[in-house]
Amino acid sequence: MLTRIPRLLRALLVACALTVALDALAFRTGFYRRIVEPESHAGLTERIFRRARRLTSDTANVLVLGDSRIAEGFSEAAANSSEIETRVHFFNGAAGGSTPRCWYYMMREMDPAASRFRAIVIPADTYYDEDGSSDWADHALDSRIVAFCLRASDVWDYAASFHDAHAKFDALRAVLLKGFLLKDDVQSLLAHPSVRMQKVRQYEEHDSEWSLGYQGNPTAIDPEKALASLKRPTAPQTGDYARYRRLWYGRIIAHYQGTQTRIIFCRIPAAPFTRPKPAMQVSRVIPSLASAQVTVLDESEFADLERPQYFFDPDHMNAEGRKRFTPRLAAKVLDALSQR
Amino acid sequence: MLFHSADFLAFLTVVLALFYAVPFRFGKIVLLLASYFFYMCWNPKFIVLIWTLTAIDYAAGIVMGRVRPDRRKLVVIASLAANLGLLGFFKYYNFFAGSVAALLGKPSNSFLIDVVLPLGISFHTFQSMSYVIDVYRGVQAPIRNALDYALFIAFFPQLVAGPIVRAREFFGQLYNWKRPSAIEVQDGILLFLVGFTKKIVFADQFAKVADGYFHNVYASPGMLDAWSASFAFAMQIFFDFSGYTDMAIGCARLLGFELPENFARPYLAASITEFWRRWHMSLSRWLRDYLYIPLGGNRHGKVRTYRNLMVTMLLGGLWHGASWNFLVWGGWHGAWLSIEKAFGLGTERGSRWGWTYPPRALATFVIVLLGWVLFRAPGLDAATFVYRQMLVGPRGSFLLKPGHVVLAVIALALALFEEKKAILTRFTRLPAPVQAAALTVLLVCLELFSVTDEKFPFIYFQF
Repeated sequence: MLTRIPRLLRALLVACALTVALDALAFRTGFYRRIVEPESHAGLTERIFRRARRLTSDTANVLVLGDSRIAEGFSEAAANSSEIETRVHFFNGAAGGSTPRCWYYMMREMDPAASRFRAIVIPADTYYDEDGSSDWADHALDSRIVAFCLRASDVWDYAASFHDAHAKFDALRAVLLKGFLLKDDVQSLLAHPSVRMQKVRQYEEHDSEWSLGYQGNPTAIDPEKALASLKRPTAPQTGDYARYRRLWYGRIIAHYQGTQTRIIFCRIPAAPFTRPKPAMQVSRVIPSLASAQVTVLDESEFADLERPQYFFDPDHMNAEGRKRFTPRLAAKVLDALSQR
Repeated sequence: MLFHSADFLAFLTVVLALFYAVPFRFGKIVLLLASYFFYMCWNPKFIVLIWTLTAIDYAAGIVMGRVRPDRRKLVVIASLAANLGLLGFFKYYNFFAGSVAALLGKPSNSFLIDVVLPLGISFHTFQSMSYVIDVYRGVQAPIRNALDYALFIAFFPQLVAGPIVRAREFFGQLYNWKRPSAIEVQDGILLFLVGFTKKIVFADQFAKVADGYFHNVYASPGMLDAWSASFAFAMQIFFDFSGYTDMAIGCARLLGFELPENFARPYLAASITEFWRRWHMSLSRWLRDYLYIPLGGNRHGKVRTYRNLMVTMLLGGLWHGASWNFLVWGGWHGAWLSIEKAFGLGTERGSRWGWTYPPRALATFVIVLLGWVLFRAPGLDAATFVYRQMLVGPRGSFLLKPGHVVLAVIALALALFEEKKAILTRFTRLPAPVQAAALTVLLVCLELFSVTDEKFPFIYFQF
């Protein structure tokens, strides 16, 4: 049968197979992970994984997932200070721009056997599943953030989780050939290899020190700008966000089903002013997930921190907000763990 | 639907599947319906324009076949008037309206109307006109089958940006049409892949630089900025258009058609005359056969020859778009063609690869590159600013990255190899392991160096 195919087409088939093999060799074996640009999305996630690998099993580890709001608003060093607690170790696994879909893949990468963490903290800006102007399922950045977490077996499942046909195609390509996701990284490496290697070495040596030493942004937002940020356009309510949350939070919970790990949802201080409730009736997936293994903190638990003096922009807490939020979240997590 | 988009790949897959699945006698219907669908994906309303042009020129052909020879002229004039009228209205009305308003001292938008330029109108109008003129001249028999004629006008691989196909080339193939052989299929796939690489690896990488600069030339004053951005555009437009053409020829070959060659390594030309024999060859041929020669060509003395060259190139420039930039760009090339004709510089003497070749090729490239500034700049003022920067501007900064330089060197090396050794033609005869290795390099380049997060439309789709 194969001999009936013209020689060039056979060569093309071999070339396709070789390309996939070379891609796998470079991007799936750990070779490229060591030299990825540390400040890129994939690089940041890789740095989180590297720090996560150093966690010991001597203490109970608590993984705090999240996006830039947790990266800015939650201090791992402060949470682990002896004044608060020594029995558990908090680990800040927040990656800027990440979404619940990313958190699932990141969590799976850090804890494939569902046995490393005593608790997983999942933050949310609201418990209302109000649809916004963009569809979270089509968040294109996700593929870059989880570039190294995606396995070949994820190909259909991951691509199918996007709604738009183009986004599905891009996702499919990203899982099959990671070079498509990392090409900007590869090009910058080829253009300036010595600069990259130097940067990689610096991060290897100082990443933990820099991450733990970060004190937060010291500035505070102008209250007028903060008020303006409350005005957000309303979008048609399709129920997409609720389905999205149910899918990815559901997967995280399912990963730890029947284990000792507690899943804790919390509504974090998300804006300099507490946003009003949605005008229309919208669902609330997170409260409905509460169970023996899943704790859902009261949604107004940290609402008093939603003040302009604790934010440096419309979305992120500043150093003062971070200082106040961290011990309170840590205390609530410890409470939840002790209630077993 | 851009040729390098996932949509087009899906569309092509479906068309090929249908084409090979249905009995061969229904192939034409599949291709015609696919072509109309392809065009309607851009703007469904303008399919009416395609149908109108098709009906007018099909009818003109039929009528010319039936009337006395002396009446044919009336028919051809009516048909050309209709073709040029539609082209003129959609493409040039606002340009002339703006110019008239300027002449009368009125605001430039005084006579403007909101006209959308139909996709590829210049290409399919010229193709349709060539049929009518050929029938009038008696070198092409009128086509009786409306379906055949409709396919000639709408054939999707070359509908929106050529190559411009002569009626006798197309119908000669259509009437001897057979399912493509396995060898033709492999050639088609190879060409499509090469064109795809030219577009998303080469053209789009250079497009980032050229678009960034020409979007607002005043924001980046400097000699190096102007030269490097113009060089980037020279690379972009070549790889963009020749990449599209390769993909079009590759698609057509997969469907059993052979479209004419459109590019033959134009930047290796050692004169502007030679450049136009290598650049957009199907348009050059059209302009020569339907404009330059009817104007008298070089048969009536030197002055008339230069006039004919200038008229041809000015109209050729205007064919690209309704703006003074394109007109001056055409004039620039017309002037150089005339100068070469006057001094006998356009003809090859002695060995092509002699010591004079590099400086002549370099000089030709610089002339072409200076012309591209007019082609790309958003207006004559902007083009003048770029020229001033090129000649007397401050030093500025070099906009190309090392990767661009590597791409340019690779392109030059491949062009020289192709010119001397015809590597692409010989590629199919190379040992399989060498082919596999070369194709792997190509695919890895597509993976790692293509531009996929930004979509740059084909430049010639706007014409």
